Amino acid sequence: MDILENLKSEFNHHVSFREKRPGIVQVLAPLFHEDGDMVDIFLDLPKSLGETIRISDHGMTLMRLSYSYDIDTPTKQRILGRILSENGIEEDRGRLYLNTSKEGLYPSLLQFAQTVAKVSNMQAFRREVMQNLFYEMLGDFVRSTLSRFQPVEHYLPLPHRDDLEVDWKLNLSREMFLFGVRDNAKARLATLSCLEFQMQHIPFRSVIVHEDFENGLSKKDQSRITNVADKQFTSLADFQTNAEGYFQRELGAVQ
Amino acid sequence: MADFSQSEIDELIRCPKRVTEAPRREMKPDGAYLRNNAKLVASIFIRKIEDFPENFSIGLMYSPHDGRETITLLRCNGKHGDYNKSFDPEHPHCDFHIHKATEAAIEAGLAPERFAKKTMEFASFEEALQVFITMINLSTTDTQKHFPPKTQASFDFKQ
Repeated sequence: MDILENLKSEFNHHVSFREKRPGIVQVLAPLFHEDGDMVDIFLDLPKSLGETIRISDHGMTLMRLSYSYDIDTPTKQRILGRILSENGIEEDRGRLYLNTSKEGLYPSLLQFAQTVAKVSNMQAFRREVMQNLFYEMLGDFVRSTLSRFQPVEHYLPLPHRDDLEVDWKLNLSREMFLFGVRDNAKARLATLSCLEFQMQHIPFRSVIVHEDFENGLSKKDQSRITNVADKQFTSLADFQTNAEGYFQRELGAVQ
Repeated sequence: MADFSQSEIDELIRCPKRVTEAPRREMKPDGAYLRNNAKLVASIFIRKIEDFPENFSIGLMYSPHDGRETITLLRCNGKHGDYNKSFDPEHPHCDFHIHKATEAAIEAGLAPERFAKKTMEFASFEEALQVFITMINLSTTDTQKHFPPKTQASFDFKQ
């Protein structure tokens, strides 16, 4: 029984195959993406018996994902890498693959399909992923690009008030209190914290980094935080582009 | 009630459009595929898999910026390979096909562009791009400037 017949038998005949290119066979299995298209799985068959079989997507998974979600930051790359490594899948220039033996083909194929689904779900849950990543991506940026300002995370300007925490303190000649804001609740906490620090005569300047100032906050919360904050960046991308220049100007202004 | 009505979807696809952020002159390799993007009132994505160039997708996405999710309105697709007819005899996966968002799919909690139809309007990536440009009603000026139809003389037959 050859490789494909054996696999078909293991799938209880609910699978078939088509030659895509010489030596490359597409697996037609009842595995679908949310848009109804079939999950693309190919077998790169060995030239001789005994060699490994490569299960591959030939780049289809990351291409589909890229329609609306790019793996364009270290954090997203890390999450993708974690999904792949935890599931034993490798990547070569955008192509996901798993080398296996003839005997291990059936379980390996299921393992591969499951991983493709997980990677594809980075798209399905892009909003949740992005929201969850906002603070992580802000942290990545502060720790790396702004490291010369000796960032301190979770800083308490008033030690007895642990409910008023600053996300990041940056040491310029004057202390900068940086808050990441992605929703109304956090905007109110940042506003309230800044007002309390002002009332306690703490010398600082506040910097707010919004995930999405225009669409993420109500009009009233936009007004409240704008009236209190010294400087705001309307998006993380805006902050990443302009933060260094801003802090450099701040440094120059007080020296 | 669905986030997008069918009339809104249809209007978003066919309303006259101008390019606000131009695409690259040539598609850019990115891992295993070639990519290009452009922005209009919505955004265009263009993808072609390197290993199987007949496998491509050209899509139109719209971000309403009013709290609603970004929606894929239209995708002109190449052949994704043969398809097992026993799973879904009507699915056009193995042919050139067009996915279009529908209110019914949104109502049913499916991907908006879940429904797809086989098309005879294009039989190559270049033809699909021109059909797509016509469907989304891109201005003639922008079409000539950013997505000029490839003439026979412009094809690289060495590829």
